[in-house]
Amino acid sequence: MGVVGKRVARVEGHERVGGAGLFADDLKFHGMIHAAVVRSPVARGLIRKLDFRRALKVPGVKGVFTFKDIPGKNCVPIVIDDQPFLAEKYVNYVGEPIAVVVAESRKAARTAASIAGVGINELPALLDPLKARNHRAIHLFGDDNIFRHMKIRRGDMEKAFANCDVIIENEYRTPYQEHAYIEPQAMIAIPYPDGSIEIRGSMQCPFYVRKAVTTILDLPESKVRVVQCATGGGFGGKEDVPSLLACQAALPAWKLGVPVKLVYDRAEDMISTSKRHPGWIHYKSGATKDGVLRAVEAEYVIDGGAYSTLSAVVLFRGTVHAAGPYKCENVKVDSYAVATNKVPTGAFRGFGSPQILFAVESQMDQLAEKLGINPLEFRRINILRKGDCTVTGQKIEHSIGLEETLDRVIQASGWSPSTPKEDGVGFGLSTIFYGVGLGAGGKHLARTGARVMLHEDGSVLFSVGTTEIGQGMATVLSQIVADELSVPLSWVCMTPTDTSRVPDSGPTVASRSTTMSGNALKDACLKIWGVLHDEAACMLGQMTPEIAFEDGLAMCGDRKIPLLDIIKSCVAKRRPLSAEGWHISPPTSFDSDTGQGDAYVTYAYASNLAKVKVDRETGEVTVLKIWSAHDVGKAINPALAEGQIEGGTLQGVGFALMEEMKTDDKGRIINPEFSTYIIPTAKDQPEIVPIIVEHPYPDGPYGAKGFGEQPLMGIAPAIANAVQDAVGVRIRDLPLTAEKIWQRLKKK
Amino acid sequence: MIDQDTISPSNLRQALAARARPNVAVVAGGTDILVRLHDRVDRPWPKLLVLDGIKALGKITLHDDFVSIGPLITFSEIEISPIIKKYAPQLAQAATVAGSVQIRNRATIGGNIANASPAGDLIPPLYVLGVTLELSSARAKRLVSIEKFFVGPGKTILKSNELITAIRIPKIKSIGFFLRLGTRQALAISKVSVAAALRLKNGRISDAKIALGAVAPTVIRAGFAEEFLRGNRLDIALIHRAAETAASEARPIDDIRSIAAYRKEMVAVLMKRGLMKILESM
Amino acid sequence: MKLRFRLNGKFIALEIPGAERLIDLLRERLDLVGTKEGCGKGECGACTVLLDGKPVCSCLILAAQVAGREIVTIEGVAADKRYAQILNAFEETGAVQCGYCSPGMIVSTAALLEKDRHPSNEEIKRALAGNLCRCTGYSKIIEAVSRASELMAQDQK
Repeated sequence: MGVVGKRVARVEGHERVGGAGLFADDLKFHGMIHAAVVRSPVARGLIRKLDFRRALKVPGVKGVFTFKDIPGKNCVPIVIDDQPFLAEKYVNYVGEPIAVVVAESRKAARTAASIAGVGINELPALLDPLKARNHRAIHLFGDDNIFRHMKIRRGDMEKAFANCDVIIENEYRTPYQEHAYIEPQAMIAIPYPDGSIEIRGSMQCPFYVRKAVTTILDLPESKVRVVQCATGGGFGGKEDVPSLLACQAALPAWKLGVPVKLVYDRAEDMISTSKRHPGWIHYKSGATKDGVLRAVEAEYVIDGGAYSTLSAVVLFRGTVHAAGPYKCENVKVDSYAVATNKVPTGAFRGFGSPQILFAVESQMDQLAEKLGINPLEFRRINILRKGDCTVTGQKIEHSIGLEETLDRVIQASGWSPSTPKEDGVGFGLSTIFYGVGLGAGGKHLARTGARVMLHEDGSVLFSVGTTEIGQGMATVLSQIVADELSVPLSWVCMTPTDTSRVPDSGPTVASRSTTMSGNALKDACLKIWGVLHDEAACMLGQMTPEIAFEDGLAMCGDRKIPLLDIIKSCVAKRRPLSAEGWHISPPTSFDSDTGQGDAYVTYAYASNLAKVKVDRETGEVTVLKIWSAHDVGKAINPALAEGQIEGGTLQGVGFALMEEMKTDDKGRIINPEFSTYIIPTAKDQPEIVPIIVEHPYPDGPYGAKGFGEQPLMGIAPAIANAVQDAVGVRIRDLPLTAEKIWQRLKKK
Repeated sequence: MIDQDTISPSNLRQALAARARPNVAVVAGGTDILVRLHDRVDRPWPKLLVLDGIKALGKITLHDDFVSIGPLITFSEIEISPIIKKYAPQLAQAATVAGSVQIRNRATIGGNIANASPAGDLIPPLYVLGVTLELSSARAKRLVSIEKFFVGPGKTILKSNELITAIRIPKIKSIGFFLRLGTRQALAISKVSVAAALRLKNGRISDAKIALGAVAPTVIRAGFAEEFLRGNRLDIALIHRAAETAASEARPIDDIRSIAAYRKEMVAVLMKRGLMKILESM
Repeated sequence: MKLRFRLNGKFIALEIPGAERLIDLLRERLDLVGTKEGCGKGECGACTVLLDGKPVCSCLILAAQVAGREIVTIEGVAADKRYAQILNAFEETGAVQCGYCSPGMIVSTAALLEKDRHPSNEEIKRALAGNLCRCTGYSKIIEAVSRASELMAQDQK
């Protein structure tokens, strides 16, 4: 009677409903002061002068800190270490941090920061990645402004296109998407008299934060402890940015010897923190009359902003997914992450794949139309099945439920391409996949530790290195531990994620927590279970017993011993009942010249069907219903898996229809508020039908794969395809606003 | 009650006296001014004149020829008021679609008027209802037609020592509508809005008032469209022509929410839809 | 200014600046951190409290405006037996993911169910339109409100 696979209520829900003080800004420390950041008002320039005299006169201000005050290295370590923590000579984007002010109150700190004298000689800035690439005069990164260039070279493109019966070639664009987590970024740094410093805050990656703080303060890792607070949404926006906040709080905390809290104002958060990379895609795909996809040629450019941060790895994922979940013998992809003088872009649910998949899935429908084959049939011909190879040459031997996800959305909706429909109503499909985990692009980080302690009273405390950010990780992992040790779920508790409890376990990204931490916990639990089993055997007087553990009992034939008695016996004999676990990912590979290799350890798959209604006069799109089926390997908690599908789907709807962070000709973000950056409200929600499909992943705990990002990724093209079906308008740049649709309808 | 940052008068006389002081900003519901002040971190706030306590400004009263609405009446109160639903249904419709529950519970009609946004949702209905505003200072009172009140985006003829003390809606029987388009289904500032009030006599339109929001520096009347409607029977052909005429009177701009060409045509679409509904109900 | 008001059923008297935001009065002065700040501009609803029974954004209310009135925060709602089923329903249905919007959602729900015991899905969406959620897609939140109304109806019998 295990709990894995059951819809148990979240273990961490009870306190949160009552508003418990678990978030960073809820915490107060004795003597704590507040920080605010002085930022660049221009996209590019040379810092001529900094004058903090007026700022220092604001009542309550305790100090202003610049790069000169940094004891260690002025660098935020991520992938390529090109980002300074505080600007020294040049500023490269509007909002770039220049100094940190601290004061007794948040208000005084913000006032002082706003009146700090910042004199910058403005320099010409690069704002368009297509123009920035290989720019002759302005060099933001290297001599071509390209953070990274990646390739896929497979087959013979010329021959393949020559043999195609239809070819579709188009350009696609996707905008900045802002995470808009409801809890703004927040961090507290607490220095201790023993020379150590503790960081508490809203974050996805405590180990990244630790590395950043040790870098700027020049401290050993043993002297920096990072503890994650309840985190009010991340979606990738709290992957690397918290490192910046931690340093912004830690520097003054260290220098002044007092706790420092830093909370970003919403507009500040929207202006200065990472977002989804804007994408530009030139896509050419060809097929033969029999409906087989024969050739794909894509150029994919992502706007990385002023510093590389995560662009190199975002590009990796985008590149691997650039042809969608299909077989294709001839593929040429060139992808570029380009530097511009705008906010450094980073991780956001999908991580480089939603942009390219918008192009892929739009192309598939257009190819189908030109071929005279319906889009469902066209996909069935080309989707990956067991034994097929991806376009990186990876053979899929296990856990591929893509076809079943397609079958299930068709079944659940009752739709077929020949279903008659009312005027203005349309249906659109998308099929996608998602490489689970860090893949070959991040393999050196693909390790996780865990710790499990079984107490004398039977309660279990476990620690992992990944973080609960709302996705329900604490519950899923608790379910795994409960079943591994055969204890009731209510006996199991997770500690807050704390770098002093487990070794560096990498980041909470890439939908990796269930597989990585789940397997590390299984490793630890197995060790404890071994001790319990051994003791049970002693107590039962059996040599090679068939002992079953279930629901707090050890059973052998007729005999039952309560688990608590076994535990007591272990304690009396001083047998260890705690253990460490470790898990590293199976090998991955990727050849940088050909883009061939086993890019990810496994893939999740999904199919989406969107039903929309388009108002022909106003151009407004109403999404009526979305059926979304995901192959998750095994749903440890189906209710939580549904929650991911529902939440990610609505973020996808936002990306498709209304979300667009806009910049002006001076590189300034002009809509950094909830009133101008439009995310869906409860009234904008379509009916969402989440469907779980399970094709177990042999190396996943209980067969589970990760999939938290996937629900967002295929929604925009499904909606675009549905709009085409509804009113015959094909829009290739997101978002699909009423104005765009109206303009196109007028032209017809 | 006065402290360093705020003045909280307990009656209108005190409020008008306080209003005459320098560097004072009026706070009614606070849903516009406190949002603006949130960003004002670099210099001190003006002294805030908090009107909450003044009961006299929070009433809806019936007079012989008009309904008087106090400036502190909230959007929520407008939404549910039987008097307003009877005499100013367009106003109730506008209050219903604005913001969110939380905003509607605080935002006031006086604040919406004084804020003078060209997209302010209550304003087009007030135009077509022929509303008169009572503006009071400590020494004087004057009545101003709503159309004369606005001079530009965020700019009105309200003197720095005046408060809006009443909104008078003539008790004229009319049939009308308020429609708008936003960027999403709630918490959305209007891209374009249309309000109408028609009076019918013997099957003909004896009077028509049309007001357009978010398509000019202030809310405007669509005078040509009104003239077009006057004296005629309402039918489909008339509706189409009137809608196009109204659209031609709009002078919208491109901005963060929408583009001029779209707004212009949507005036016609909303006009048409609103008038068709009236036709269908006849 | 001397401020007297009712908070979660108790009378409070304070001496504070009239321009202090209610959200700061609650979080900083009274350590009632259940009410969360998401934007400071009334655009996200995370700071929702009840003012004389009506949901409002506490980031847009001044201390001076609270004199003589009744405020109920999430702490008050959570402690009130009448609303226990709302909290139960939210937990049960999976309506809480990161939990940051939850206090505001629950306060808005309490006000809705007080006014309308059996709201339709459309009415629920309207009542919660001012509470933004980025995690759940609202599906399970709407389900939770319906469930709460069912449970509360059962309790009545």
